[in-house]
Amino acid sequence: MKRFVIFLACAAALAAALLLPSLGAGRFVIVMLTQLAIMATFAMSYNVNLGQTGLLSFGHAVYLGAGVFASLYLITAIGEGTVPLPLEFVPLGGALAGFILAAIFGLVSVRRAGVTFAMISLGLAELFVAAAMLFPSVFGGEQGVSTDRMVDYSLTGMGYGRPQEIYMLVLVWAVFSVAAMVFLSRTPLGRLANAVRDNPQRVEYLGYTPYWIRFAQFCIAGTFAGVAGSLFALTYEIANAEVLGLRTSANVLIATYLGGITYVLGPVVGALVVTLLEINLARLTEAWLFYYGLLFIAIILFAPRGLTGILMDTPDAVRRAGWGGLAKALLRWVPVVFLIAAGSVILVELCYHLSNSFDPREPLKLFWTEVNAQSWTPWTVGAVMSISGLAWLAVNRRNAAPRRAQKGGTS
Amino acid sequence: MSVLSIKGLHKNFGAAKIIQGIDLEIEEGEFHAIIGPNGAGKSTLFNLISGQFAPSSGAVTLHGSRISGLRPYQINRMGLSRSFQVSNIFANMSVFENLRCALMWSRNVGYCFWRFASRCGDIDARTDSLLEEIGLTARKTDMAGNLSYAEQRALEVGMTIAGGASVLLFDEPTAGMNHHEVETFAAFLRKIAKGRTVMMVEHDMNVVFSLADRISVLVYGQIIATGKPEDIRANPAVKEAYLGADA
Amino acid sequence: MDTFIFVLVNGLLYGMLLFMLSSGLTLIFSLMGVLNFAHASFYMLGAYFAYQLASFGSFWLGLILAPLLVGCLGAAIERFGLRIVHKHGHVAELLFTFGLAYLIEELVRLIWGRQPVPYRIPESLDFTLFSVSGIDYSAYRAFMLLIAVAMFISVLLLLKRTRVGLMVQAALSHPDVLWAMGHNVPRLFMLVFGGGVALAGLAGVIGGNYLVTEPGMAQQMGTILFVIVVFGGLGSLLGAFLASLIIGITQTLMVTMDGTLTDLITSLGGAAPHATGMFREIWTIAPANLAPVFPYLLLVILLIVRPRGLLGTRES
Repeated sequence: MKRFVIFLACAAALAAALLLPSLGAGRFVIVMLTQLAIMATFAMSYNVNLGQTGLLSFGHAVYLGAGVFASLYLITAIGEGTVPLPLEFVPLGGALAGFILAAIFGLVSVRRAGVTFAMISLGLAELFVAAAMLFPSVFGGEQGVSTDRMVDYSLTGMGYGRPQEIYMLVLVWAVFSVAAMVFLSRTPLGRLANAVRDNPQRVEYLGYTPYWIRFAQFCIAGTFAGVAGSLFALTYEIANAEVLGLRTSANVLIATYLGGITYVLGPVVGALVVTLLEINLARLTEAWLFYYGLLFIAIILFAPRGLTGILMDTPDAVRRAGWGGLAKALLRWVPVVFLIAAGSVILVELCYHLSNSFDPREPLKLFWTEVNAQSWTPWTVGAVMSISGLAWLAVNRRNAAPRRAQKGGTS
Repeated sequence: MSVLSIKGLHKNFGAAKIIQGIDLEIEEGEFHAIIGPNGAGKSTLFNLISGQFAPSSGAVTLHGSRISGLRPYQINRMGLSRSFQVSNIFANMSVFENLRCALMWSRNVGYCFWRFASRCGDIDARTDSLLEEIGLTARKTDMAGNLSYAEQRALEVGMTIAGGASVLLFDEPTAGMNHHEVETFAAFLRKIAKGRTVMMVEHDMNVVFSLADRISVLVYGQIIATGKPEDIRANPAVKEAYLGADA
Repeated sequence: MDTFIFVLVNGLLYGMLLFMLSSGLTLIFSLMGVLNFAHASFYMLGAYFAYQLASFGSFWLGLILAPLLVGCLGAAIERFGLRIVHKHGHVAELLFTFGLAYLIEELVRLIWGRQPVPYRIPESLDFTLFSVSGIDYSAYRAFMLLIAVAMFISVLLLLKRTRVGLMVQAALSHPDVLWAMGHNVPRLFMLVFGGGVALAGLAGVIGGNYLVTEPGMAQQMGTILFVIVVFGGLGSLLGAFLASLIIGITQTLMVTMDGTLTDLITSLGGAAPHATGMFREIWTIAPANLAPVFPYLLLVILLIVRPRGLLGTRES
């Protein structure tokens, strides 16, 4: 039943993604969907490391970047006619670049998992970024490297100039990559990767070397990150060395984790949520990165299996508690969450207005009213709301604790 | 000719001499139990044989070829498999996946990434029959981490025998079980041991004396006696060093 | 020669600053197994708190209060955040502190803006202590050195003489014993985490006005910090000390060095290479340009040669 629902949801999402442009969706939607497809590919490749193999990497952007720059040069070369490759196959070049870099860095970094691996991945990524800064002749310095995807040589004869056209190309590659990664997770290598994640010692007693399993997975992740990089290059046609940096790596880590690393398609959910947040929240408030970070921390603390985990657990929880139980739980938690969230949003927005806007004396648009950030009233309202919310939370938790203890602590 | 032979084995951790010269021959098809007080070095001995540590000196040979100093995966490929004292399973994978991973290498699957795992020869069918053998068919799709303690012990043994190794090392297979579970499990071990060579560390004397063909007594890193169960029972040195303390 | 000694002293100072951070990080790691990704963020908070307090009152107020505030904040984060994720293992803890670093950086942008803040050296210390062959040595640098040394002595005394210190020492040498000793381990964790980040806060107070106080300072310092603890060997205080000094001094030395491959070739009598095409910068890169790359290069080489780090005994 659950499987069927998931299958239906995937099919519906795919159909929507395919049909939206022909149904006359606006440029804005197309641009957003393109970004989503790239992010989904990138996040999926990240989860080959994190969720499937237990390798927490802080440098995944480097492999994306390898794909980006390789593709930028490749597209230019195709345009000049020096490389006889149809534009549609540019992602193969990105994949190759990602694979080669991952194979080199993987050899020295996958000996250990856990914290050591995380630190090495960070060190290698910083090394690569710092080195990239030294070579403006390759990475283009501040203004970056740019290209023009309007080349004459394509398989379908299409020009790929318009957003709809490039969207279709990106979508095809993204769907192919996601499907390929789902497939790989079900091969013997994918299963062994899960085993290495859970217990590398035991794997060694089953005749396998954890090192090669990690290495293979790391290369797969790098390859598909390279594909995502190609799609990035095809879409935006420009990039500088910043794309390699810690911020990009952090974004993909957060997106993947938000989606849920224990589910095969969790990263796609994460990419969806993050892209929507990025585009829509950024229009509403300048402090969106802060809210984004708060959401990430909240997920780590209270829902380690991510948004997909919440989605999957809800039906079971409702079945167990019944509708009455659900109503009771909602009544109990919704006001608390609302108070804390609204209160802190007020405070954050006020803070931001005071320190970062051109003129702090100007009234600040907050929800549906306008307030003066320099008077005490809005600050008091925000503070009272958050503090009472936190107090309520503490009371709720204290009430919940003894009952949990009675159940025998099996939570 | 003996299947597993240990000659002059020593292991020091810094100044601590844990294993101080062990010589032991394990015969084909034998069920050999190692007993001894806590801290005698039984687990260290297993770790030395299975490749967790390299010995300080001495040698272990399996079917006539030297295995001491090799990595665990190399030793496993030569036909020696071990279980662990603390269940050492893949907690976030299903019982079925645990067993399937355990038998992949012996089915020549290798690091295959171009085929669904379920399409790699007959490994699914073999996994199912192994599930039947260890009595966990009903828990096939459950997470291994959610199994009961006794079930995890069964899975642990199942993973140890999955690869078809001819020599098995069991490290306290019944540790932590209640009386009833121990009885069932001992029968299960007897069934599994048929046609294989087994070395077992065990604290439960009933299990040891009912299963073992021969017993070695390890005290302070040395073997003070090896022999048939009735000889060990009668051996005065053993009585003094070990059984005497219990009786 | 005078210049060289000067650079050496500056490098030593930078190294000491690095060690103020890496020592706390190492203590927290060896005791709790948590590699605190947000450690440099507390350093940044120390600098910003000190800036704020300096603008209210005086630098000296900030010097005392800012580390305390940072320490309390750290203890609270341990109590209400880290402790919750502890049961999910070390990778979850690392992720949590990573999220924390992200959040703190955004918070700093939110409160103090994107631009550097004018956190200045106090006037009472803003004079030249002595000058050697025309180069001035400012009193503030001497003061920083003094603070750093005072801090090490007090931490050392704390470790050697107090009950908590003895517990920490026991835990450092035998990580498993701690739980068997029957002490209040959660409270010890909270204390050590708070204390460790308070040290980072102190480093921020004295480093923030020596360097620049801006939202990017945490990330810049943070990555070098991780290089240091991995390089020194995870969990080794002495290793962290050596690594801090090595990286501090070499980085400072490299910044002052010039000379490029082109110079080398021409001085050997060769013709200057014709620089075109990709990677043409290779002929004109000076050691000063390589300074930011150097720590990472060192790390990678070491990891290939000796994966345990300089003095590490444990692998994670």
